[in-house]
Amino acid sequence: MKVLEVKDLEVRYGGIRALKGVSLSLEEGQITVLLGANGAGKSSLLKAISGLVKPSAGSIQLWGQETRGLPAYRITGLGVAHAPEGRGMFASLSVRENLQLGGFLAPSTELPTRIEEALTLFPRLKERYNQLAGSLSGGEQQMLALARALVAKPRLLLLDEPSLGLAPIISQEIFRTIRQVHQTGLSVLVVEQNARLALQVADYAYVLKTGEVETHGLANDIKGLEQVGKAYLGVT
Amino acid sequence: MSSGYITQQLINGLAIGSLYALVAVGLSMVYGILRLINFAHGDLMMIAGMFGATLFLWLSKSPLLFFMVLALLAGLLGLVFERIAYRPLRGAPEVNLLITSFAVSSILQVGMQMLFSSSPRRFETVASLSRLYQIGSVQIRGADMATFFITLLVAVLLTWFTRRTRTGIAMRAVSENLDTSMLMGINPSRPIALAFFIGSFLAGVAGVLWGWKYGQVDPLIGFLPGLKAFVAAVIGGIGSIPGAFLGGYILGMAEVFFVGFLPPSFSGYRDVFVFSLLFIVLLVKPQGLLGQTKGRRA
Ligand SMILES: Nc1ncnc2c1ncn2[C@@H]1O[C@H](COP(=O)(O)OP(=O)(O)OP(=O)(O)O)[C@@H](O)[C@H]1O
Ligand SMILES: [Mg+2]
Repeated sequence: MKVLEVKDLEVRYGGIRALKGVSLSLEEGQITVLLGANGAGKSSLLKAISGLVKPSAGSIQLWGQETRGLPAYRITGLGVAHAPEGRGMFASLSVRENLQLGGFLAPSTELPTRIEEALTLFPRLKERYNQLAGSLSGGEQQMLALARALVAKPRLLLLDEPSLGLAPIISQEIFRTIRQVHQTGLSVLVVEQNARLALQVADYAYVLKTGEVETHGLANDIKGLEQVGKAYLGVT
Repeated sequence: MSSGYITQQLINGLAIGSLYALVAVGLSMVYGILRLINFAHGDLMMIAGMFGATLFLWLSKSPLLFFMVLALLAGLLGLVFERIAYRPLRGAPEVNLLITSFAVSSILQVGMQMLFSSSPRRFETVASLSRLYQIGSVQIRGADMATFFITLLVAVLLTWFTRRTRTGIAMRAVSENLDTSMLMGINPSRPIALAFFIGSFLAGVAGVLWGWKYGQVDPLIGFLPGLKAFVAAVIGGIGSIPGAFLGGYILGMAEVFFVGFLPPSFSGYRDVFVFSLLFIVLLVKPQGLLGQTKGRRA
């Protein structure tokens, strides 16, 4: 069964059509990367999947179940974790509280182990456990966003620009971690501006252009495409 | 001016400040989570007072039961209005919520006038509460002492609740960022309803304490305390629970000292003074003393 099946999805903000009939499907256990220029509609697509924006047309199926129109908290309950663009920290809450909220739907007996596991992936957060999330550096906040999503033990992870504003070495660390958690059978849909880095770890890729799917294919094939090379990989 | 006099004023300030704090904390919680300036909040205090004046027969049997019944009444009424008046407006501009709360306020005031008439009603008390206790050179009324200790208890419990419990942390999360809180799996309707219930319950508590302090209530007593509690919440930083307590006490103290230390001819300007204080605090710290500058909610 497909993890995610999006068909002819349309998202409007007032008069603006941010998505103009997007179709996309995700295979179980794969990492799929979503590329596209600024304003192409990448974040809108993730928000529609996680229920933060209501699509005006089309369908979204998660594990065979139609979820279009469900509130975001119900979709989270199905096993989707969305780390939104700009990290979505609760800045006035501590690192500990942010992680606890990641496991809001988890049985309380499991929560400590899950947090412990997430902290093993990001030992830096351990040192800042009781600090306010707002006082973390950008890179640390990105780690916290990822760790918090993992505490939810999702079956599908949606990541919106996890390397935004990070030093290359930290970006690589983040993607290494994504690779690592994906080994456990987790499916990942990641939006990324650093196409080169993302295509290294991804199995499959979609390219969005002004609200439509421009092309899609295996990550290796996409890497070789001339138009993608020009637009996103800096190949001239 | 003797030190006894100053201590006495201090105690009076604590007593009235506690009342402001109890009302302010509910206003602040509801604002924090819904961005609603609830003008009907003071009226819930009034409702508890009015029904308290009517149900006084119970008082002699069990003051605690009496207290709980009235606070619960206010709390449930808060829940009802959240459900029928504010929830349908969720996502609407904040000013629509504000106007709705004006309507709720009028409904409550007129409703009580129709039910009980608009004349003041005597609020019965018990001997231990109306008694004056002599401690050293200062005198403290039983009701004021009760008010202070109840407020202290409420502050401790609320701090524990918002810092240590799953639901309390979820409430703070919804207050800070609605969208992200839903991504955590939180159904925001629950913390929002709970904030209304707790806030209204505390307004009910304040209503009973108000009745005990002043001995009489009428359908309009909610207005001025509601307004002053709002000032207190803004001084402390609206949305912040510790800020509401701080603001309540600052306001109570300032008011008592204004009346107690300036010539009697000034005391009529007490409310002008309160709003001037607000003005000054906001000039220096626009977000209030303990307030955070928050981003707008999505
Ligand atoms: N809340 C909103 N209200 C109005 N227009 C919006 C809103 N959110 C997004 N848009 C518009 O929808 C289009 C797609 O935006 P979206 O955020 O999905 O793009 P994106 O591909 O994620 O871009 P970026 O790479 O810059 O993050 C843009 O034209 C944007 O201006
Ligand atoms: Mg985006």
